[in-house]
Amino acid sequence: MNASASPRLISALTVFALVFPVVYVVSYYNELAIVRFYPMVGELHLNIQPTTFGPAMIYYTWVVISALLALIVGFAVPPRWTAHLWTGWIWVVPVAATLFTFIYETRWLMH
Amino acid sequence: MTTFLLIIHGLLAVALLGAVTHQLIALWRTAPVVGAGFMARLKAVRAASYANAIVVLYALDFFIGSIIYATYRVEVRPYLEDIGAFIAAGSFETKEHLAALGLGLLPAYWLVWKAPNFVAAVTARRTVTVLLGFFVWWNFLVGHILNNLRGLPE
Repeated sequence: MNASASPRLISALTVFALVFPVVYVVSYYNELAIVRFYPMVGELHLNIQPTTFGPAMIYYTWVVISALLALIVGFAVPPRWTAHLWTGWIWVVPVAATLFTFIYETRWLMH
Repeated sequence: MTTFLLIIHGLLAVALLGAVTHQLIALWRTAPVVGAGFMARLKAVRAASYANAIVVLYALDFFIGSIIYATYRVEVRPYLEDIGAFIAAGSFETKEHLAALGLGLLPAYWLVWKAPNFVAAVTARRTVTVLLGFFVWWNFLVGHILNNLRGLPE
C-alpha cells in the first residue's frame, strides 16, 4: 500500500472506517447472533444448543458481519460522495463507539 | 499449542506497543529536534514510516488473539465469574470490543498516514493514532493482568 492508492480505494476505506464501528456496536449491543461458535465442542450452530455444549461465542459473528458490511458498503458508495466528506468523521465515529463501549461495559460493575 | 500462541500473541503485542508508542512520541513533536541525546533521537524518527508495520502487526496480533480467545471463553472467564472477579472479566470484555474496534480503525489509521487527501488532516491523524495507541495499551495491560490472574491452560 502506498500514497498513490486509487480514489476508489481511499473512498472505500473511508466508508469502511465509518460503517465498521457502527455495525459492530449495534451487533454486540443487540447480541446479534447469526452463527454461534461453541468452543468446548468446536462446533458452529445457527441455533442455541443445550448447556452441555458449553458457552457460545458470537464475537466472531460480530467482527465478520461488521467487516463484510463495511467492505460492501465501502465499495458500493461512489467516490464522488466521499470526496468532500469532512475528514473528522473518521475519528469522531470510532471515538463515539469507544465511549459507548466503556459506558456499556460498566454493567460488569453492577454485579 | 495455546501456550505457544499466547507467547506469540504477547511478543507481537510488545512489538506493536513499541511501534505505536514511538510513533505517538514523534507525532506530538512540535519543534525541530535539537541534540543527539536519547529523547532527541526518540522524537526524531519519521512517524509515517511505522504505519504499515503497525497495520500488519495489529492484524496479525488480532488474528492470533482471536484463536486463543476461545480457550479463554471456556477456561478462564467461568473461573473469573466463579471467584467474583467481575471487574477483571468486564475488563476483558472491553478488551475484546476494543480489539475489534481497533481492527475496524486500521483503514482510517492507514488513510491518515498514507492517503494524500488526509495529509493536511493533522487532528484526524493525531486522534486516530492516539485512539489506536490507547487500544493497544489497554489490551496489552488487561491481557497481562488477566494472564496473571489465571493463565490459559494447555
